[in-house]
This record gives sequence, structure tokens and C-alpha cells, in this order.
Amino acid sequence: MTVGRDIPSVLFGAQDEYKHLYESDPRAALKLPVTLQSGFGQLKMGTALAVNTSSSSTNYNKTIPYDQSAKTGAEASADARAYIVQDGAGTTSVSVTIDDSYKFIVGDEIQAIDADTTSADLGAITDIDRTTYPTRAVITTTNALSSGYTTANFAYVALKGSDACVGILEKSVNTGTGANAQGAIATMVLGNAIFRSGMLTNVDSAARTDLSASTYGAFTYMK
Amino acid sequence: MPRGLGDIPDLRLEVLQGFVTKFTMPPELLLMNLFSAKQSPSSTIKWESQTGSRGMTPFVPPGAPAPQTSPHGIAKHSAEAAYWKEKMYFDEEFLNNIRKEGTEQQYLGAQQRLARELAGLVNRSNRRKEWMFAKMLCDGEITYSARSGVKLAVDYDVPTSHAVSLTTNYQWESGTERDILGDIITGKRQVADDCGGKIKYALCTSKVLQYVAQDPAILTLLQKSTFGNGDLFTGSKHGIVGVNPNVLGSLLDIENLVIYDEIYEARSWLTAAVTADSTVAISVDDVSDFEVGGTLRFHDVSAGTYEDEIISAVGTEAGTVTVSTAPSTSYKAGEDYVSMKKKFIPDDKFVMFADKVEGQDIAEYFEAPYGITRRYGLKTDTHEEWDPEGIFIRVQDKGLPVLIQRDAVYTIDVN
Repeated sequence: MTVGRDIPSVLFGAQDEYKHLYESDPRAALKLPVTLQSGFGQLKMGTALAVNTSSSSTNYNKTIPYDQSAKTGAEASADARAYIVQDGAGTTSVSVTIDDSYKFIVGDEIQAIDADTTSADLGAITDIDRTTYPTRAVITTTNALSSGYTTANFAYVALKGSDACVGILEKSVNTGTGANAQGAIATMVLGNAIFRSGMLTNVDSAARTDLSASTYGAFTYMK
Repeated sequence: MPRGLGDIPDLRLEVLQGFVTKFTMPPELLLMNLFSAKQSPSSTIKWESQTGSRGMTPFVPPGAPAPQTSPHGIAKHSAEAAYWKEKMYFDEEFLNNIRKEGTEQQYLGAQQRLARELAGLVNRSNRRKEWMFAKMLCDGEITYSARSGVKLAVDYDVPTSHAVSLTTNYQWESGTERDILGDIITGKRQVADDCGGKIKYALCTSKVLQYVAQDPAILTLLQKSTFGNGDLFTGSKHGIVGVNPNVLGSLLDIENLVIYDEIYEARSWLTAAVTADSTVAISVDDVSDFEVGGTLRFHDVSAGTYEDEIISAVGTEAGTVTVSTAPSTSYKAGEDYVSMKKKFIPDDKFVMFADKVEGQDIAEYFEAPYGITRRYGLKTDTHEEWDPEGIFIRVQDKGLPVLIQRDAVYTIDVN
């Protein structure tokens, strides 16, 4: 780690603990190897996963983080989202941070979402411009982003398919962020397991419905 | 001409200089080694007892027949042993690619890593055993609720006259009529009257030692001009309070006044967000071992800060720990965590007991058999997975401390 400081100072880091996901026998779980799309940073064991359903993209069928149902803007784990940094203006330009722009490639289909507006299908991405502005990347979409989507309302764009949970990430992986993001390969649990609910990330009630999962006390189980 | 360091951060030399640990050393556990252990042939433990009497032969007129008396009977007792175990899994990817902490380039050998984690599991298992002994002596009962639904309650049925709670005026810290010496003498007499035992051990934390050592009446007694030798603050002093417990033990005529500050910890992840100044029912991953009256510490992992609140209730079914006052900072679910550190001997208890009555131990630890091979005592083992390659390490133990002489223990709730 290069700290890079030129003033006398002391930094104390925080301890990152290992998680323990399974309550049941991990060997009994039904799991499949999957490829995670790049750009979402480090995803912790137990994260809810979805699938990119952009049929014309080369990322089609790659797994991506699931976007939870709560959309207040205060959600701690919002890996799936790229919050817009400029209000919608009725054009096909969508501005997000440069790092967030690496969650998408040309051909990916995205949708615009905020706390209280129905999600809008922006269609396939036709261009991503990361050079014109040093502060933001501009994504050009097929359909226009209406002016109803504002930064004040925590509007964001996310990949098509990110709202349907398909499984649980079994191990922590780093999909990378920014220009050098490469994605990751990992295993995804599809069923026959009891998890400690506290170790799961973004497995909300809608995700449990998608997974046909239920809770019992402090556990979440998939039959 | 290069001057300064700022241009190329990657060339800045930063060397990892060390590895600092906290709470990783093996615990110094006292109680689990104090009493003898016996192997029980099954998980159900049975023993019998007899209480004699101090009866006397009656007077009779000469020529009259002798009145009849009868021998003493016998009481039957039994207990069921407790079983505790846990395991940890490591896959080959983890074991093959871990850097040794405190070094920049060294690989942490898999065997070294596994040995260290196994030692940690053994410590955890031993702490559970110690916890059972501490609960038996301090509370007269063991109650335990795990998140998975396991609830366990062992009542040692200690007579209520042997578990005294002092009222406000008599409390040791600042009670206006406190009488520490008198309370201890009363306890010693109570044990002697009830079972004939002599108090040999007294256990308390350094906090209670502080109350005793700062008590004006005791300080007066220990002055050279009165009864003592003025040596309370010399000799083998306690590390925190700075007084010599042996001097107090000698004054109280208790052979072993042990100051026992060893702690255990319960830790759990937050499963729902905690809103500053609002949330009092804290949803956590695992409520096991959190106790009402304990101090819940909220850790903000990203900020590296913490704050403490007192636990007012624990909801095992709901998976919540309720605090009396909401914390002043917000905490995130899945990232931040709470912990509770507690001493095996509570900070408000003074526990006295005779170790033997009529030459027999007042308590015993019964080991029960478990596993296919009928093992006894703590056992660690490993299990290798073939595909994908990985290894489980596991620790398990089975047994129960049993209080055979219920009235040889006397506890004072001093605050």
C-alpha cells in the first residue's frame, strides 16, 4: 500500500474479518462456476447475484451483483448501481463517475431507476466517453433519460437483469474497478443450503422470492 | 534535478515493520483446572449423597430399654453432560496464497496457519469450559441460548441464603453502612454452619479488590499501629490495583484470595442498520452469549471508532440485543459489528467456597464420552476434502461441571 503523504501523521486501519457463510454442510450445496462481469470491485462472500440479460452484449449471461429493492440512496451495498452525476435532460446522454462507467460496455442494456419513479429502459449502450470530461464519463444510450431522474433523488443506472436475483456468491472475489478491471470467476450457490443471514449481502425479501428462499430465525435457507 | 519525494509514489520506500496482536495469546484459565475431573461412562452422570447429623444419644432412666434410633438414608442425583464443538474450513486457494502477517514477501505456510487456527479453536473450547465453571460458582446456574435455537439451562440449586445481594446502604463501593469484613465473616460462618466446610478460596475481579483495599475499616485494621503489619502495598502486588491480595487474604483468613480478571468475548455482525440516537433493538447475526447488564460495544469498522451502551434485553428468537440508550452514531449492516467483553467473574461478585468438605471435592468435572471411538476430553482433528481440495479443522469436548456440595459456596453481590 502506498500511502503517499508528505505531512507527519499516523493512520490506523480497520480490521476486515473473514465471514462464515454456511450453517449447513457446504459440500451439500448446489453450486455452479460462473464468470462475474468486471468493474464492480470486491464482492464479498454471500452477495446476492443476478445475470446480465443484455442479449446483444458480449457480457450476456455474465453474473453481476443483484440490485436490492430499497432505493433510498442510503444503501450500504449498492455495487450494482452507477449513480448519475448530472440530472436527466431528456437526451440519450447519461453521466456517471468514471470508475462506475467501467461496470458497463458498449452493447450492455441499462435501465434508469430512482426512489419513486418507475424504472425506464434506456436500451443498449452505443458509446461510453471517458475522455471529454475529467470528472465524469458520458454513456450514450439508445433511449433518452428523462428529466425526472435527478441526482437529488438518487437516480442511478443499472444493467438489465440486475433486479432479478439468481444465486449467492460463495467466495469473496475482486472484479476490479476502473480501467484495469478484469472481472472474476467464482462459484454461485443455487440451492440446498442454510446460510447465516447476517453474512448475506443484498438478499432482501424480493431476492428471497426470486431464489425461493426463506428465513428461519437468524438463517436463510434455499431448498 | 529530482528533489523531494512526491513525483513517483511507486518508488517511495515503505517497509512493513511489524505485526501487532491483541487478545491472541492463550488465556490463563483458573477454574477449569481447580477441580478434579472424572470420566463418566455415559453422558448421564449419576451420584449419590448422604447428609449425616450431629445427633446425641438421649438420657434414659436406669433399667429402662434403650430408645430406638435409625440410620441415615441416601439421596440420588443425576446430570446430563453438555457438548460443544465447532469447525473451520480452508480451501486450497486460501492456504496457498496467504502472505504471512508482518512480512512483505513471506508465504504463511499452510501447516503454520492451520496450527495457529487450531490453537485458537482450542482456546475457544477451553473458554467455554471455564465459562461453565464460572457460571456454576457465581450464578449457581448455566443458561445459554444460541441463534440456531439451542437453549440450555442447568440449575445447580444453590440455597438462596448462600447467594446474598447487598442492599444499597451495605454495598461495598460506597454504601454508607458497608461492612466488608462482616459480610465475609457471615459468609464463612454460613458455609461452616451448613456443611462444615472451611472457606479456602475467594474469587473476585480487580474492581472488587479495589473496593476492599480502599475500605476505610480494612485500611485501619491493616495499619501497623492496630492489627496489621502495614504491608498492604508491598510484596506481591496486583498489577492493576497495586495492593497485595495475600495481606487481605491473611486478614480475612482465606488461604487463596484470587484476583481473576480473565475475560471472554461475544461478537456479532449487525444485520440491520442502526440509526443514531434512535435504534435500541439491535439486530445481530448471533445473540449467543450476550447478557443483560453487559456492555455492548458498537464498532464502526470504516471509521475505526467505537462506543458503548448497556444491554437491557436479549431477544434470542428475534435475534436482537436491546440497549437501554441508542448509540449516538449510525452503523451499517453487514459491515459494522458489536461485541461484548465480560469477565468470567462478574465485576460485582465476591465468590467464596470451600474446596473440600469432609475430605471430598465440592465440585467435579465429569467428562462424558463422545464420537465413534468414545473419546473423553478435548479433541481436535482435521478432515480433508478431495475435490475441491480443502481441509476442515475441528474442536470438540463434552462434559459438565457438577456442584456436589451445594452449600459450600457463598456469593455476595457487592454492588
